Order: sequence, then C-alpha cells, then structure tokens
Amino acid sequence: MSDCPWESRIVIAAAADLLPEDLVLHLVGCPVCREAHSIAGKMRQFANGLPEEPGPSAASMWWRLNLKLRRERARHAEKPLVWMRRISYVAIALTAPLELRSIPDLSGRTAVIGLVALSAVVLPVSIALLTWSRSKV
Amino acid sequence: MDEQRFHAFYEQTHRNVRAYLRSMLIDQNVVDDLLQESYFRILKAELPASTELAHQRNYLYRIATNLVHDYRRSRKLETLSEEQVPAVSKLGSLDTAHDVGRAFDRLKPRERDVLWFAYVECLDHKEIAGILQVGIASIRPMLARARAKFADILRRRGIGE
Repeated sequence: MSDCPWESRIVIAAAADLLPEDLVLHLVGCPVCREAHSIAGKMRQFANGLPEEPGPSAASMWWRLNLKLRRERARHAEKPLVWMRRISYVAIALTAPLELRSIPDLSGRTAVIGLVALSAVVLPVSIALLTWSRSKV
Repeated sequence: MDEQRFHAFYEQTHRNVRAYLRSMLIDQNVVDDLLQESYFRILKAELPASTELAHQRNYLYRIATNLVHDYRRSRKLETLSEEQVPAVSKLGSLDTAHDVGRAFDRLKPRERDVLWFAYVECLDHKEIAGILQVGIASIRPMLARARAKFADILRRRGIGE
C-alpha cells in the first residue's frame, strides 16, 4: 500500500469529526485513505482515553523553572573558581617540597614533627568546613 | 521568554505535550520530570520574541521526543510489556482505548512518534520532519509503514476494521 494525496485532508477532516461528501466518496474507493481514517480514529480514541492528571499551573512551573535556572547559572559561575582552586592545590603540592628543601631549618626532625602537628590541626578543620559548606548547598 | 509569554505558551501546549509523554511512558513521575525538563530547555534556548507559536511548539516537541528517547535508551526500553501500558481512564470506550494503547505500544518509538504527530496532533510532514530531525521525504514512507504495521496489529487483536 503506498500513499494518497488526499490523506492529509482525510486526517484533518476526521480530527474535526467532519467528513464532507467528496471525502466520503473518496474513502469508498481508496484503501490508503480508509486505513489512514481508521488509524486516525483509533489514535484519537487512545489519546482521549489517556488519564488527565492535573499538572502544575503555569505560575508554579515558571517559579520552578526559574529556580532551576538560577541554580544552574550559579553552578556555571562557580566552575572557574573550582578549577582555580584545583590548579592552586596542584601548584602548592608541586612547589611545597622545593620550598621546604630551600629552608635548611625545616629539613630536620623538628620540622617534620611540626608539619605533622600542623596537618593534624588543619586537616580535621578543613574536612569540617567542607562538610559544613556542602550541607549548606 | 518573559513570564507572561511563558504562561500563555504553557497554557496552550502543556496538555498535549503531557498526553504525548503519557502515551510514551508509564511512570507518572517520569512524565512530570520530562515535562518540566522540556519547558526548562525551551526557556534556556531563549528563542527570539518574534518566534511563531507553531515553531515554538514544534521545538518543544523536538526536545520532548529527544528526552523520551534518551530516557528509554538509558533504561533499555524498546516496547513496553503488556502490564506496563499506560492505563486509560475514561468510561465508555475504555476497553477499546486500552486495547489500542496496548497495540500502540507494540510499535517502535519512532513509529509511535510519527503516528502520534500525524494523527493526534495533525501536523504536516514538514513539521513532523522538523520534530524528528529527519528528511521531509522520509516521513511519507515512515508513516505508511507505521500505519500499516499498526493496522496489522489492531487487526490481529480484533480491534481493526
């Protein structure tokens, strides 16, 4: 079965529940349009039978979308900062050993103990701050 | 799109877009999520104020069809099982509509799309091609194939003519 130039007219007329006489006559002799007419009817039956759950109002949708848009823009704006932070961590990690080596007093045992003590304080505080900042997002 | 224009656009389109999503998906929550995401993306697209309503509506459908296909692909859904077919609610033609729904779901997603846009939305081939992002010339054979297949399924189920 191929197609018929009358098909779209038939579909539109069927959707409006109006079949002019010329289309009715055409339907009798055209199997393509008969099938299109029948399928269009079944499709409308199916569409009309779908449950109509009450969706959000336009105002509610607008509010939700704007909130989402603002959040997304904020996330977008934060991206360069996040990358800058990452780059600075890497830079610190790379330069710290060189810096430490250049200061003779810090290469000894005392310096190691001092650094361990410092990280023992700094690490928990950093983790606490990170957890707190994430809980605020 | 300002608030006033969005309200008007939403009021004119959301029922049909929801019905389309409902015909393609079972989970009501997913339907709601994809509906919201569709409007979100069209809002983000910042179409010029002079854009015609029909063009905006078709663009919205294009977003919705892509979201549906992405969702189904991510869930590896092709056709739904018999139990998962969207329930129909209205009295009277309930049985037939439900049977048609079950038969409809035996079709591939693209076939369902083309039948829905041609026979429920009554869009022309150019509009359907724009939504499905395929060549306009391919719509006629796609529609003919989908229609014949659907008619065959309906006939085998004793619903067709």
